[in-house]
Amino acid sequence: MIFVRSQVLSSDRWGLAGWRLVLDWSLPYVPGQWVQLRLPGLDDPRMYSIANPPGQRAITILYTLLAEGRLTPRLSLLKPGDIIEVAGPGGAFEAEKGSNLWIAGGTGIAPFLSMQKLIESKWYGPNSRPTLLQSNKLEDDLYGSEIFSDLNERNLLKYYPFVTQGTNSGPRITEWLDAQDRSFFKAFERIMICGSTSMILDLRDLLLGRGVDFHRIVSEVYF
Amino acid sequence: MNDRKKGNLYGLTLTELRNLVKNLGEPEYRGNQLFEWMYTHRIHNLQAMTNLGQSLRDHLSNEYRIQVIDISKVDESTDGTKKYLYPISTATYVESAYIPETDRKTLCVSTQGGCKMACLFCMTARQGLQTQLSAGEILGQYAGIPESLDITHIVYMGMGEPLDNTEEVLKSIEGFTEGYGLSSKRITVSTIGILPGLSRLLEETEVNVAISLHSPFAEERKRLMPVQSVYPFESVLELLKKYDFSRRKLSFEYILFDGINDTADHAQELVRLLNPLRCRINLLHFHPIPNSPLSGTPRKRIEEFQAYLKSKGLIATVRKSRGEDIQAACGLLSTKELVRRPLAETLDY
Ligand SMILES: Cc1cc2nc3c(=O)[nH]c(=O)nc-3n(C[C@H](O)[C@H](O)[C@H](O)COP(=O)(O)OP(=O)(O)OC[C@H]3O[C@@H](n4cnc5c(N)ncnc54)[C@H](O)[C@@H]3O)c2cc1C
Ligand code: SF4
Repeated sequence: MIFVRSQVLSSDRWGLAGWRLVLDWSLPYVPGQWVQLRLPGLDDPRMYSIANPPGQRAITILYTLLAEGRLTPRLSLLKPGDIIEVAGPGGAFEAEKGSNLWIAGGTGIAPFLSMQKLIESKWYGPNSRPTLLQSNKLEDDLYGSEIFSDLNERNLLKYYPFVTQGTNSGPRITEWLDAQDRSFFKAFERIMICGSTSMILDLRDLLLGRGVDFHRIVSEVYF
Repeated sequence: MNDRKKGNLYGLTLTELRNLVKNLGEPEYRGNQLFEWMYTHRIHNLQAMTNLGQSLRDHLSNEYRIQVIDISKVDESTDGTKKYLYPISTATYVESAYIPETDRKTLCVSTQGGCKMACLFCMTARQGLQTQLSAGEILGQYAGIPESLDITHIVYMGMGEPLDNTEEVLKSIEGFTEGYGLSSKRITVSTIGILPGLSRLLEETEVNVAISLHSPFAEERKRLMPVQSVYPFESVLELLKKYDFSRRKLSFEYILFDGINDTADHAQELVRLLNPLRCRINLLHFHPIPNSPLSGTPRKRIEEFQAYLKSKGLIATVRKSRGEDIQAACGLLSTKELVRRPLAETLDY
């Protein structure tokens, strides 16, 4: 992978647990792809899904800070004008036309944030607005929920937010899905899941148990 | 000092041991001597390392120990395969398999407790990642079993994705080759194709490489192996094409799933993808795992698949299924011992 130097345009908090890093970077990419980030002098890069739609001459990275992590504590110290090294884009967690169910946990919402323009352009087909289930521990950390709620109101997306902790916690995604009947699952040609390994494993088990053919399930693990 | 509180020297590389003795004010060659005692001579008693000098031996014995991981359980199959189980922490087990055959004795080692990669057909995947193994914990799976001296081949095909723990895997390879004197030609690292780790493995070692392929079609491979969304197989191929495989072996692992990846189209596409490479393809029978949508292709059809690949010039072998009566497939035993998943209150879904 070839790393190029890129300038930090902004760095701020996103919700309670998230951070948003905007980088000056204008290579073409497909929604759902990742970049690798590393700091000059630290040769061990990490991968991040691009969290904004293409065509903006900048990319947004959504991340959570892991106290004992190698890169994220350092990312959080970056200031506008600082230099970071970026490689990519890469990966193939790409949207497909047809009826889609998307499920995101935590920062796993990033690839779906980059699909915003596809949703607005009805790229998926006339009668197949995607359904998005977004989950996180706290309501403040439902990154981009205002964008998805707006798309929902405009009948471009069916959006269901889930929160597992705090006063607004409700049923978990797993409980909600388990309560759906078979026709719900049958309606989707493709189910895309993005998040932690345990989420991928639990949801895949649940979906297979509900009769969904594994050929319809695509996942991206933030390993 | 209580022995458990002492630092463990087992698994340290030559460079690490040279630095350690240097920091104790000793000449660096003492590190080479320590390395030879520990690995070449398999002496784990520091006081028995007679050429180190009494004061260094005393100092090391006070501060350090040489401890190989304990075996907690061994199962032997009717075909001679033995499965060892090791407790890595209070709640995590890893396993290794000793596979004796007439012309070789192979040890299959684990590199992680559990795994993050979520492959659909894998039992280890169901544990998630519990822990990364240190080089010492990888080497200990070899040094700590009674058959150790008979082992001719090491394969990194047990629990975990070796190249998700690249640093410790590279150190353990150094231990096997420089320490225990095994030839790189007899060591194979199997990976699903984690590109940064694969680059390092190809650059920094001469061991054989086995890539888990399981489908030549990108969209299908994605469904079987989520890593395909992150590191598509075509990028893995691109990297492999830059290396010379005349002095080290390149192979592809292909588990045949009934009615899924065992069709004529699959066979044709495999030929197209792999023929330009100097490689072999190992066709594997699927060990059934509970609640899986996949089942194994019957033996006869595996042989037909193999015959087609061979007729088109690929070197294709069918790997014998070993130790099925003791669940010798990767992760079956330890997952039976333990399925530990994160607590519900820590989850974001
Ligand atoms: C395709 C892809 C896309 C991704 N996209 C995103 C994204 O959009 N946003 C995002 O936030 N993340 C994303 N990730 C995850 C990201 O790449 C990093 O892994 C994450 O940000 C942590 O990096 P770090 O260097 O801070 O932590 P690391 O140093 O990598 O450590 C991660 C955690 O593991 C623990 N740990 C470290 N070493 C060990 C060890 N030896 N044994 C056990 N535990 C250990 C640490 O304590 C820490 O809690 C993505 C990953 C992939 C593969
Ligand atoms: S097959 Fe290997 S990489 Fe995939 S989940 Fe199992 S142990 Fe991990």
